Amino acid sequence: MSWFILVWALCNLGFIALACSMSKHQKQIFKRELDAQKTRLASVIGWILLTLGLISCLIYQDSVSNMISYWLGVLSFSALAVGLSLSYFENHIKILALASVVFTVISFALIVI
Amino acid sequence: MRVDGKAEGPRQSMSWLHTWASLILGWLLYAIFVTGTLSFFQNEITVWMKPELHQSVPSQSQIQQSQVALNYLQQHHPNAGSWSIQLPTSRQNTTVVNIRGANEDPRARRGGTRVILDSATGEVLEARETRGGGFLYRFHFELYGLDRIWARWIVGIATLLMFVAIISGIITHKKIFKDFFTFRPGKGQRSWLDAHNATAVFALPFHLMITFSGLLLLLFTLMPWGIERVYENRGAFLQEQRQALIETPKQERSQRPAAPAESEHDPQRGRGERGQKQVQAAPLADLAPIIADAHKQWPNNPIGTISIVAPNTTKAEIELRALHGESVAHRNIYQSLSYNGVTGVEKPDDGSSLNNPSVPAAIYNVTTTLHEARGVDLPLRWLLFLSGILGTLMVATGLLLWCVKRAPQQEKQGYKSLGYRTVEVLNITAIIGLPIACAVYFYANRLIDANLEKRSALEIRCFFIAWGLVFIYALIRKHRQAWLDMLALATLLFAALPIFNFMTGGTPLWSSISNGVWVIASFDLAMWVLALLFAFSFIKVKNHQALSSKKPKAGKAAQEHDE
Repeated sequence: MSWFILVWALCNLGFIALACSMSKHQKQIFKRELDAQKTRLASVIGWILLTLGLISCLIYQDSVSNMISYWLGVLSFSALAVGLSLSYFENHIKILALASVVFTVISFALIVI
Repeated sequence: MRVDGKAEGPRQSMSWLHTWASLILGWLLYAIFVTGTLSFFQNEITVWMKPELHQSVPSQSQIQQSQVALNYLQQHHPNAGSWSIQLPTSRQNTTVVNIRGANEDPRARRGGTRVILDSATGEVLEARETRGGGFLYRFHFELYGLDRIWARWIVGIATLLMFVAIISGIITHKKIFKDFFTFRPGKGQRSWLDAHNATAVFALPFHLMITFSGLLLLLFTLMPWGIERVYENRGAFLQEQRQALIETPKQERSQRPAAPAESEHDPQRGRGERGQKQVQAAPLADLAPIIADAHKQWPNNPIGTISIVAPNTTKAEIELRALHGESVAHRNIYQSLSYNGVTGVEKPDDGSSLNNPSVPAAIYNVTTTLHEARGVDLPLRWLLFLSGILGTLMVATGLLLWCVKRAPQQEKQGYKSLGYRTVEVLNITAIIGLPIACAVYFYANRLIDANLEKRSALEIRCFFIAWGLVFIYALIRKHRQAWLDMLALATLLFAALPIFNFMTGGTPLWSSISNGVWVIASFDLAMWVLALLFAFSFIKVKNHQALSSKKPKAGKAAQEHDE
């Protein structure tokens, strides 16, 4: 279970970072557009986080086909969570980000211990 | 396609294709999506629909569970040719034992006497006659009351159109990345389009997988000629596909081909002759250390079935099969362990190992195994189920969008044209009528006398009558009012189901939760979630009136989309 939450939280963070690299959502989240350098940074971080989600799937069990299926499934619901938050709670998207960070840390700690 | 004969861009022609290819069988697709999504949990639905089985609360330990089953078998069938014990799982709260005679093939797919036991007490349970979730499962690819081949052709064509719709939809979607997270609520047509896009794009891998594998699964029914020429029957073909995944040392190949599969199993290969040979009575080995050993070897995979061939004899053999499959790329391959049934010593490994499937075989295996959720564990099943819900919403929003987009024009001309009205009525019948029919099916399951003969056919009749009544209601009532009434009805029906459950012999929610029987509890809880969903939609439709004054804005959005 904690592994599942870890992947979901990582993908949430990845999608939030990707949203931060889109001008429309930059206005929502930061109330202004970011400069090109920061935009690129956000998109790089986003893709890295999504890849981290995949890697943590693959490390968890050795069946590659199952774990890629899991990752793709989780991606749908991370995207849904971020999409809904941006539509309905655009001022509180940072709460989702913060919650995802907390989830990541706790679930990671639970797995390691 | 333009009536005025002007040239059109590829995106416009794709948009045309998307609209009409989807509409033509859209309602059927919706029905396939709803019943198919529910089929991910067809076990749970069947358990709920057999309240006689609800009393069984399995213990946590598989050793204890197997002991209960073994006590029953030793007491009632000590001289059987073989036993097989399906232990309770997170999806089934009872133990199912199968007893076969001495001259029956212990590994045949069918046959034997099936007995359902209370997992804790070993009491024999007799459930009412019902098709349960199996009806919904069959409906999603064979419909009902039609010739099987014809029905599969119809579903196959609908699936093909779905595939066309997905591809043309991706091309039509102008800003798939730019609008990735975009949902603008409360803006009429714009919102419907956003919702349609979001449900489609977020679960796109699922939609592609489920549609493509749907075609693959129907492949052998719709195009059987290739296999018919080469193989004796389809079973032989599937068996060979499975064999290709297992690497067995050559000299042993003939003796022990592979771990037994639940289905697609060649009935010719059996050990039926065992019973006729000279055998002497001998006490059966203790199962507890064997089960403990299996748990050690499969830390992440519980035991699914225990088969005991020639129990209580010197020839006794115990075989354990894991609950979850090896992986989704290895279709129908489960880990198994064999033990000597007298000494309890594990038999030496036959040295077989798993091959990686070829690329086409891997695509077939992964997509179809996921489609059927065959041997996958519970979290993945939930992901598939929830993705199925997104797919259902995608089809529903698409169907509604067709009407929403044409509403201003209909209003301008002052009357509703026949085509438009047909779509409106069929939308209500499908989108809200089908859930109502399902709810009625669940009610009928409890209201029809449990001992009545042929009651399962009556349950199904209630399902279709309810569906038909919604159609008639949609026909005679005003559009908006029909939506409101049906949404209210659906809310009430689903909200009352968990209460109705314990009033008619099922386990009440509080006790299924406190006993940890989530098979039953999750059904009841899911009904309440659905009720909330319908109540929410009811409120949304009820408050919708205010928006019609902003018509010009919606019209502008329509233009934007048409460009």
